[in-house]
Amino acid sequence: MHSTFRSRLNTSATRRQRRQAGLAAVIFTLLLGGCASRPPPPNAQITEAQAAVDSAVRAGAAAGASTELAMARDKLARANASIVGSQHERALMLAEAALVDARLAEAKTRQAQAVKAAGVVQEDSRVLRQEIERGAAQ
Amino acid sequence: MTTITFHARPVTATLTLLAAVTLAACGSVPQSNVQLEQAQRDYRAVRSDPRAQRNAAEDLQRATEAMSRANVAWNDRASEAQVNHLAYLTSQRVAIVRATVETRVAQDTVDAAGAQRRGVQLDARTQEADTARRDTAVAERDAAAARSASTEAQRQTQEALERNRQLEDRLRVLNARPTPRGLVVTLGDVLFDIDRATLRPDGLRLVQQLGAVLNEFPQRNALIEGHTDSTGDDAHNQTLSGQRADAVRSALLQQGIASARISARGYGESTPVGSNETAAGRQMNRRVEIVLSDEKGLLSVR
Repeated sequence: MHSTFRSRLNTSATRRQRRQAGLAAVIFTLLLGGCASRPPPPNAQITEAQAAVDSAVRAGAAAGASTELAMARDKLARANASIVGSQHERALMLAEAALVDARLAEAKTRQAQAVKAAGVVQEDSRVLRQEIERGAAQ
Repeated sequence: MTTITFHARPVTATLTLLAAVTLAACGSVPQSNVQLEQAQRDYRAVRSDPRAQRNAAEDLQRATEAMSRANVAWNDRASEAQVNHLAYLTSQRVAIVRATVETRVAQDTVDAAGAQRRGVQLDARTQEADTARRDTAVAERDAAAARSASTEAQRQTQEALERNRQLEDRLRVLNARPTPRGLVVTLGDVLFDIDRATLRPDGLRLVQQLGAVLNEFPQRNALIEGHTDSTGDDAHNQTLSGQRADAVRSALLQQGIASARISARGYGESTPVGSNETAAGRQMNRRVEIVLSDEKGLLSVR
């Protein structure tokens, strides 16, 4: 029974078919790997970008860096849309861009707030100094 | 084995063709990428900023990673879209570093201003304390001066009272009486010749005693008033009263009393102190009153 099985496998026609099928699989894989590899959906990157947008909003970016925030939201929305359309690579790029846009929105917001605070304390300090000098002059 | 070799040749050809197609599909390989070069310039600029290293190390690390990814993609001849994308991420990361640096600079300003403010407030408190100390010292000095002034005033009052008492003592022999107008010494009719303005020796002696007192109390002035009773002619009475007052004034001046201190005036029969119906009353009315001023030399004229 064992010898019967082997003799059937070793027929040259069967071997040729198997070899061709294997080569086709290799070629197909190479084709995919060449330019148009299909990465998995960038769910982690989208989650991270969404969190960055939320964080920027909490920091007050809607007022402090509305342009950057709008860019981040737009790209995030397009990233989600790309996933729906199975364009995973495009979705990844958009998610990554949305992340840095949101981070920049938050950084600029904090910068604006700090600069404003600095202006206020400097003015306060100036007024205080003036009052004291006036008080001392009296 | 020959079978295999026979079949392998077309496969190899197919693979070669596929590789060529794949490379072509991945795009032409450009000599430069504008966005990547911009990202590289941005990155170099922020990398050379010592504040970025100091104040935004974490953000700078992210920018470095992004730059590295972009450069690797370029060297690996990744698609232009991919390189542009990574260049964009790099430029944005660089912008984040800049914002963080500026934030830190502003925060330092706030902190410095806070310290400065505390310093200013401390200065102000020190100044206030100094002022308060000065004010307290001044107030204490004023209070001491006020106490001293008060003591001085009390002393002066007591001295004045004492002098007044001494004056009253001295004038007691002259029968001086206190009135609302001041101490009044009355020279009676008997001290003058009858119906004349000449002082008799007793009268002169009284006036001399009065002069001694006036010399002793130089701040006191005197008003000499002559009065008569209602007997006889009004004009005569007026003249007589004036002459008697003048006689007393002259006697005082002779004792060396300054003329400015003594004034004299005749009132005739206008101000009787007793009834003109009786002899005793008329005698009381014929008189010369010497009104002594207060210590300031002020007299209340009738």
